[in-house]
Amino acid sequence: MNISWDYILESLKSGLQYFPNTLKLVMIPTFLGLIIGTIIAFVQTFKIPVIGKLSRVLITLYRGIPIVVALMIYNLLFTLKFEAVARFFRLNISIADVDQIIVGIFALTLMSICLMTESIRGGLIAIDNGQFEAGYSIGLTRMQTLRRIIIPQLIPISIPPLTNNVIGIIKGSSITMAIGITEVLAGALIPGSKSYSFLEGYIAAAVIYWMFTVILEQLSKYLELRGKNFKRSLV
Amino acid sequence: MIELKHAKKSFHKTEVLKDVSIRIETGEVMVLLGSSGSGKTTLLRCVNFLEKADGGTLTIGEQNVDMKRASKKEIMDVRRKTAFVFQNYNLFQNKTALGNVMEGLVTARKTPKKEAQKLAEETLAWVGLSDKMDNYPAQLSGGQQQRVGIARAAVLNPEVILLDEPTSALDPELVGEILAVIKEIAQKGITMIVATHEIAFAQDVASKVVFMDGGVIVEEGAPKDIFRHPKEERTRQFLARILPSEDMYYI
Repeated sequence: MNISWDYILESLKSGLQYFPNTLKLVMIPTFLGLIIGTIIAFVQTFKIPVIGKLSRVLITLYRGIPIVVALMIYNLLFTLKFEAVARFFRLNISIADVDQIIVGIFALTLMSICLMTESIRGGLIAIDNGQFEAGYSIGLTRMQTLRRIIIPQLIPISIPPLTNNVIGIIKGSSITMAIGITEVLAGALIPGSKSYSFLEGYIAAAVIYWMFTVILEQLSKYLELRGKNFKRSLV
Repeated sequence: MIELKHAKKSFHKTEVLKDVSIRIETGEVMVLLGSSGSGKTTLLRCVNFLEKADGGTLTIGEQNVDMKRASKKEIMDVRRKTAFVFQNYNLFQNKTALGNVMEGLVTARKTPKKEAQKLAEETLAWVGLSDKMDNYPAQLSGGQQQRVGIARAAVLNPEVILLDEPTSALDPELVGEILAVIKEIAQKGITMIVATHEIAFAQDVASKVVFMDGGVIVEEGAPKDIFRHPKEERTRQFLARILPSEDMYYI
């Protein structure tokens, strides 16, 4: 079997053209997941009544559902119920006006929240309780202790697992092709529909994902080094 | 003046403090003695609300606090009047020695940064760490870290400093430097409650010795009374085990 470089190049171009969609599918869930995940992690660590337990249960439930299954469910609900919901809220929009990418973003965001919560909770567990107590003992409030003492220590600990999560979301984003969203993978396969160069399409998509991941890894290494300068010893 | 009345604390079903009352006048140094598990640490932690007592009242100066029902504001007020030195130092890992000492002044007391830095530098110089101000805790020895810990507490000029076995985590060679610093604080007239196993230090610095066992105060009094003429049998047992006996030196 011959692999045609021309087709790979064509697929790369086509895939990159839809890179902004992949970027949306990764960035929005990462960003929202980080914020909401951090809040949930703190709620759980401080054992805040009701919401702490509730969030635990929800995350346990949600983590057990494969992303493809969740995506299919949301997509079905979206197609079947969108018009009814819009009518209920007296919104004058039809399903055709809405970009289906929001279904993908929604599914990935929920996944991201679960991943981020667990990573940040792990980081918080790693920080000695004495750091909190020392903060309280000199008269800092809980918020001040978090902001000045805990979070600066949490960042370097959490970067490796958080990077791992983002890489997971990047890979997860390719699954949204299953509900008809055109992102990098679907884009790279477009030329194949004319020339049957599917292998080249998949290779091109792999290259794009790989580059994206490598860039992200380098960024995380840089942040990690910057964040933990307090751990460097004098030697 | 600090007074603790009828302090009680249980962890699950274990009663750690069973109705403990102590009173300490301004400028006094109270030494808490007792074996592990006698409640010394819990007593100190309750004063600073690192543990919430199950009952009892705390008086610091003018302020009266119900230890069980203290509001957030009352707790903050008490914490601003007290400072704590931890057994395992608990320095802020992400801050330099100077940053550790400045933190309470700048963030909790809202002291202007310049003034805070000056005060912090003076305090660090006083504990002998002028040349280590920009080092992170990970770059300091145990003794140096504990000196920063003491500076962090002392710089706030609190009404009382609570020291929880400040030398237990240090090797014997470094104990001396810490005790010397604590002694200096005592000479400045700052009120202190020290939980310790250092008997020689207690004899030297304490104005009052409290012996605890099983969550109650067994005996309290001036160091010379407690060490020379203990009244209670339990105190005698404890002291016999940790006081170097006279004839030991001849061995």
